[in-house]
Amino acid sequence: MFRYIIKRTLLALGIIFSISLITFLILNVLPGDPVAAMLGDFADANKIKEVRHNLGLDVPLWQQYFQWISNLLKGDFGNSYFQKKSVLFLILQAFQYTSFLAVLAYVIALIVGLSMGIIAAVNHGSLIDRSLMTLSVLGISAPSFWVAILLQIYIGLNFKIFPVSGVQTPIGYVLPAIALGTRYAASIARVTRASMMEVMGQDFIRTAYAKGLGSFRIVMVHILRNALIPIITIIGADIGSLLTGSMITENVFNIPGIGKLLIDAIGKRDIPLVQGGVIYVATVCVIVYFVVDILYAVVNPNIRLGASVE
Amino acid sequence: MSEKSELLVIKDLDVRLFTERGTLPVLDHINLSLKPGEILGIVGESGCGKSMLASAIMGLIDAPLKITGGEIVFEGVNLVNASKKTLQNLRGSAISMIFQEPMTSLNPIMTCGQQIVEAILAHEKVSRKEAVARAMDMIKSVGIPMPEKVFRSVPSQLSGGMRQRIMIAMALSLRPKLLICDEPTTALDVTVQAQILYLIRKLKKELNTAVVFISHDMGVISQMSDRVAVMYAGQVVELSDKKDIFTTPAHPYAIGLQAAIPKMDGEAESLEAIPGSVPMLYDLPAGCLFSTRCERCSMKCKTEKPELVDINEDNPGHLVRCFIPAI
Repeated sequence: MFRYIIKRTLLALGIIFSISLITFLILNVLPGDPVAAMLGDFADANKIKEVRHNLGLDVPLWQQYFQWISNLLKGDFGNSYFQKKSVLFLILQAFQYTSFLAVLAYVIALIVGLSMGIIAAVNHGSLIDRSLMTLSVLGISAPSFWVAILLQIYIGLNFKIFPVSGVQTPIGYVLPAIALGTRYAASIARVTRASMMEVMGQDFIRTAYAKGLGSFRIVMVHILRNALIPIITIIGADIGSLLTGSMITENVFNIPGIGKLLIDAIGKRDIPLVQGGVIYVATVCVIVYFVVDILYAVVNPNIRLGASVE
Repeated sequence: MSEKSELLVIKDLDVRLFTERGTLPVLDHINLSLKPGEILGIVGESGCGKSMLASAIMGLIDAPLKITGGEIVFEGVNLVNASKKTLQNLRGSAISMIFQEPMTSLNPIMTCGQQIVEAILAHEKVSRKEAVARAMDMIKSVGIPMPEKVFRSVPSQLSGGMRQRIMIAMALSLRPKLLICDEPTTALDVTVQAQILYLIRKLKKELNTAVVFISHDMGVISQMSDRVAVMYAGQVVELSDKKDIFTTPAHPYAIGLQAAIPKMDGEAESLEAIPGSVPMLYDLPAGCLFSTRCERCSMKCKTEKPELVDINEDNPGHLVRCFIPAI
């Protein structure tokens, strides 16, 4: 287990390093000069030269990369070209909004998705099952901006409890969290149902019935715990994508999160901010997958003990 | 024999499989009974309904299968129309079961000890500590070395034989009156098989548990049983004391099974086998179900269905479903 963790850590560092290199190169070969964007179309050539020098853009590419990566290792992500603040500060600030929204959305998604999946699996083949699964197809297919707008119109405007834009009060997070969580709830429901159905057909479930256990205990302890492994996998992937910001929902509800920050930065060619943002996204994903791997071991002792799994 | 002394009475039990091709008789008019402490062996080919019978007694029959008629009376309670709660209370405590596949019959992510503790706690109001102590005693009594370590092990760390011992410990942890063994040794190698059979017999004697022992292996059946029922295509075709069935089998199928046991003496050139295979449930013969494979088959066998009847008035209790039994 210890060796496994070391191996995974090294691999993770390698991945982040590769991503930094690729991002750096791609942003530098993209058309569009950030300095021109900063100074406008009619800037004079000397001024452009001066700004390029100040930003360190007049040295060879490999030197720029080396400079950037060594600063990065010191925790210095550089400064935004436009906002005149440090990239790290901007990301951390946006992260507060994104993470709060993500947690709320995912808690809703987990509660709704797991319950739907369990109820559907237990009643498989029945009308309840089919209605829940139809609902989940709708949930997966509905674009989140559409759900968001529907919520704004039908709940936000009609009931006037939840604001339709902005997150000045915590209650402002409710509608965005529902809009964002819908798709995740639907996919959790489907995976939960499929995974539970597979476990239900196995011999040890018959043993559990033969022991005289109650249905509730069989479902929650024997079936659900064994069914959790594929569910944890998608939970990991979901949380990774949630923490890296949801550009659409954040834009519709006007939440200054990571998604909105990055979209704006890309539009303005704010290279340090984009680079920092991509490194942030990569790191979050790597960490989340790492945690998921550890969680597998917690749920399944066969992995923890290194025993063979047949 | 009065029914009062019987622990389990199965009367005219029918189980049907509902499919698009129609309703198929998986079990057909099964009549069996079992006294406390008795071992009833059930033998037959794969697909003859042995395991289905076990599931029916356990109340584990589920759609698309259905019990369509008859009774399963356990200590005066008819299990066929008993409530879910009644069945749940009986399962694991008064009636318990050991399955064929020890490799997959235990929850892979729960420790063995916990799985036994769980069974005890499901039926008795004892503290967790006491349940753990009792589970540990059971693990010791099934002859597992290093019981403390095994208690904390998950099934994948144990061999098939060890897992089957855990299953036995679990099944017997509440001192059931009836134990159903569905091919408990089929998946194990022969030496382990002998140990497990010995263990079942030993514990059965200690607890005076009645046993329904299902196997396709005539050798195992002859070692284990007091009485034997031979099943074919969902029916009991012969039922008698072990002695009668092994010395004077009367149904042609039972004779065939006997002959198929490889013998150590004599110069056996080739293995004996019953020609053909069990008829498909959707394609059963009109008369005797065995008529398609029977050497002694007559015209009557092809058109009429024989009943299970006593063949020897002087020595009752040898029941055979055949028009022309060998006597």
